[in-house]
Amino acid sequence: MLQNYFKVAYRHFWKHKVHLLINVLGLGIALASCVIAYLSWKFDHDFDHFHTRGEQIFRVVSIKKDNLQAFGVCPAPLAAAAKAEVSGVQDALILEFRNAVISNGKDTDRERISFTENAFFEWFDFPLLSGQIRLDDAATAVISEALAIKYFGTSDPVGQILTIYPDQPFQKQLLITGLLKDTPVNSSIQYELLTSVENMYNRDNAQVNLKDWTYLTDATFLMLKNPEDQERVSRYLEAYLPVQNQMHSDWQIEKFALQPLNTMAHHADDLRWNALGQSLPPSMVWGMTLMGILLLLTASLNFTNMSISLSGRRLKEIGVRKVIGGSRKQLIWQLLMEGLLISLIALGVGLLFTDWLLPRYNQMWTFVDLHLVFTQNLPLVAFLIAVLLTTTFIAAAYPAFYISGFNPTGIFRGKVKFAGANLFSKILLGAQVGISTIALVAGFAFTRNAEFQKNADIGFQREGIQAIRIPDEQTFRVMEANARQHPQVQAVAGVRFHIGDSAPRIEVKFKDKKQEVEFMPVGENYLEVMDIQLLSGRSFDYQLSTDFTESILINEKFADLYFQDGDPLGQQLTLFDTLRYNVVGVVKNFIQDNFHDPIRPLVLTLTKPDRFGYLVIKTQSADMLEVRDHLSVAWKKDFAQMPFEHYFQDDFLASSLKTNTNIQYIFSVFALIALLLSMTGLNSLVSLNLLKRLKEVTIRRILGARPSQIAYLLSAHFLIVAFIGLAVGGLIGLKLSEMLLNSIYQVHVGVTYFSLLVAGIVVVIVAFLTISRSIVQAITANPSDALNND
Amino acid sequence: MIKLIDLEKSVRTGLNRAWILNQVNLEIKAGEFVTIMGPSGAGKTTLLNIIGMLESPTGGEYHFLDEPVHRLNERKRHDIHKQYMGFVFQAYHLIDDLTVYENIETPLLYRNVKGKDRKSIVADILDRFSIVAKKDLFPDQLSGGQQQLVGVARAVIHKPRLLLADEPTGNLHSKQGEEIMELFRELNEEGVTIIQVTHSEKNAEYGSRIIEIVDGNIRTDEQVRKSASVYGTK
Ligand SMILES: Nc1ncnc2c1ncn2[C@@H]1O[C@H](COP(=O)(O)OP(=O)(O)OP(=O)(O)O)[C@@H](O)[C@H]1O
Ligand SMILES: [Mg+2]
Repeated sequence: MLQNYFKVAYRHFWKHKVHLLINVLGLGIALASCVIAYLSWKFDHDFDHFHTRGEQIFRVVSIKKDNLQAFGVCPAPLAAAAKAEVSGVQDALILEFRNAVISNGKDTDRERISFTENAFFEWFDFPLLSGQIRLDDAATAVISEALAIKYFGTSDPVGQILTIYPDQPFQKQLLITGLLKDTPVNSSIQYELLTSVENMYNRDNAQVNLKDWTYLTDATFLMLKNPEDQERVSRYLEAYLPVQNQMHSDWQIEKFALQPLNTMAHHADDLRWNALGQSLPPSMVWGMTLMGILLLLTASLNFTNMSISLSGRRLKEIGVRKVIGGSRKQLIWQLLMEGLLISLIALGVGLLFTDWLLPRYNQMWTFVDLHLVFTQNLPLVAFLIAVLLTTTFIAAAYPAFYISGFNPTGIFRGKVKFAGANLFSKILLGAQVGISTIALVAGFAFTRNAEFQKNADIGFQREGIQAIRIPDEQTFRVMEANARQHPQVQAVAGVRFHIGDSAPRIEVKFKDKKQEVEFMPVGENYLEVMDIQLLSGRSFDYQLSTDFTESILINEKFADLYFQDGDPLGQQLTLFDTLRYNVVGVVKNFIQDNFHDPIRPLVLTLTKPDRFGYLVIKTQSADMLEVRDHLSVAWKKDFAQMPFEHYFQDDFLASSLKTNTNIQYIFSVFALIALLLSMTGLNSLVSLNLLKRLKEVTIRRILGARPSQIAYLLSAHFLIVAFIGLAVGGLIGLKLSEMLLNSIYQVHVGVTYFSLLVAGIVVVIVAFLTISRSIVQAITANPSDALNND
Repeated sequence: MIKLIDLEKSVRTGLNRAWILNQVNLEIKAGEFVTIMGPSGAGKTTLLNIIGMLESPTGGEYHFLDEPVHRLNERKRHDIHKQYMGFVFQAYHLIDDLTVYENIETPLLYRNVKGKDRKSIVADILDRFSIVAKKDLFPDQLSGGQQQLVGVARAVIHKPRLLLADEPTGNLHSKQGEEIMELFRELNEEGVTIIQVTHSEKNAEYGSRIIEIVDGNIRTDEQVRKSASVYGTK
């Protein structure tokens, strides 16, 4: 029987290859995006889940007293104390990170060094590929494959030497004793080189003292005997608050909280001073999911539409089968099986497509690494089956239940004329057009935002600006002189934290209030070089020595937030509890990091070269590369032991733009597919309608109807439906784009009805092109043919 | 075998009710070869469809093999239809996407006949109807007469007790028509009860009884010869 069904289905669809091909491809692509959505969700959900003892491991975070925000850091002595004294705590572990220079004698670069102890590898499942781990010996280190390749190429890294801090007086040579597998992308802990905690130095070039309550570690982990003790243990830890708060009076802690390793990545976004990674941006998962569902809906609905429009042919078969003994149930099964068959083929196409797409998708986002693996992956298989059945149901249920209900005598008498233009298929068409419009509107919204990111006034000069990181005053002086030597260099300046290199937040006291604001000490000329505009008051006067110690500028945001009811100029601010400054001017807001982050209240002080962290150089855009090469050569000559860390100003904004471009790209593809599918649907409806009404149309033509009237007659009701879909989809699209932009960017261009208008024009034009063929056919058909052929 | 008592079929046409069949009383015994005749629109097809359980009457009683069909549910009716009846149509109504062989085989599939039996049953009938050579062709590759042969083969493949034929030769020229009628006669002699609708006096002569319907009523009902079949029980 199955064979009989299969043959009919095969031959039936073979006669409608093009229809079928479009549908299968559409469904395939839709299924691929569902699979990617699932894989993204799973990837995100499984963040940090690969550690066998993960259930027992908790991270200690500190809730600060003054603002009650959670910080990832924790006083250093807490780990040892908790292990020794708190019941229920089996073990404790410290993990520290430094961005430090390392060198193999030839290549020198800044890397992220992790400091821990041997126990780290008993806690966490990070496999050792070769060699051994001897972190109890402070003269050794283990490195990741990626770092090994970077510094040692293909040769065996085990037994080789790496120098850490080659630019510092306390530089140290480390023997590489082991090679580690790279960390999975969905791991909060990311390492390149791991060495002993003894190799940690603080700002004053002294070894870190882990018994010091004022020293904050990047991450402190506790291993509990029983995970249920989480609450109890965090209460016990309160016993250490008095000593901590007494020792570290300017960093008062309200309480400690324990975050389970298995879920902490999902709360990391709310965690400040977090040195560990975080899970995917939620919009990435729900965005993909929404897109998958909408595409699947469009494609399935198109399939339904195809089945309905082709079912005229099938009706006779249905009637015959009923007469020769088929029951309605059997017919429903037959039609559902057909749907299943198509869905199955589409799923195959979808999986092939996913396989092709995943490497490209992974490349688009640095923080995503998805793989399609079926072995030992029951959840994926279950998901695929569920999707398959859902698709089948959406695509085939309506035809199956509806068509199978017809009475054979009705069919044979020709009373059941079931093709195309019933209300249901019109609703389907409207839904498809709506979904296409959503994608189009979102695509245009992100296109506009890309333009905005490229061209908007972001409050500072970004053309022709480059910067190099400098470690100290002497380097600054040498490089500044080098830069000034170059004829194309127009201006140079120094700054401690350059725009784009997240300035720290500090507490500022004024009017008896304390507020946290961003802190940016700038050198002479920096404001001029970066073209930061003054809004009121005056800028720094470099001749005035008191301006270095007493004058401060604030940004517009600061003024708006805290001086709504009065002039900020002349107000006194206290920094670091003791340093008093007078507000002399207000500068216009500018983007401090990138578009992902909000514009925050900011203070700018004037500082001397001994505090500089960057040298900023301004040239014509065209001269930037030449100047960079000049500086690079000069650097290698004088400071070979240090990495040449160079940035073009646009690099800081590049990641926002990349995200935006990626989303724009995804929506464009989505819109294209959805549009293609809905236009196939529209085309089949209109041409079917034409087929049914050819005779009527011809008679009307003979009676003198004008072509425009004929066109109206054939397409008006579809266009009305399409128009409703357009309007509804457009509004949903606007809302959705706004939500998405808000969730990704703190600073963006917003949405306007303009996107809706452009999307509308596109849909209308495409729709007219789609139906024009059928209409021209109707208008030009030879009347005698149309009338005889019945 | 069949007993119709005061059978009626009416349809709504706007505000009015129109009777397609009215007060039809009829008894047909197993083994009969009945011909229904009458002008176009008289209700012949409707009567045949009701007997074949493709349509339901709006009033009256219909007994088939002593079962009160008018009181049975959909499922039970479907079972009787499936077990006892075969249909031949004027427009052949073969499934376009199936070959001759597959068309003939399909009724057996719906009756769960096992693969090997199925093959031999289909082979027998192909042989008997002399269409073996055509078995892999599709309906649109056959002449009308050949298609109708396939239609008859399909209608009798599951050995129905009752064969219903609605103008089976209406689309054929006389030579092909005769061939089909000869087949009917043979089938009737083997014990199959046949009810056919036809406009042709010549075809009517193959039957044992002629019923004339006009405006939804039986106008005449005459026995032309003794029923050919001797196997009929009821
Ligand atoms: N479901 C229905 N609704 C309305 N009218 C119907 C319906 N079914 C049949 N009729 C009408 O009932 C009448 C009898 O139809 P039927 O097909 O039984 O006639 P017929 O005797 O077979 O005619 P012909 O010789 O042309 O085949 C016709 O006038 C037909 O139009
Ligand atoms: Mg008729």
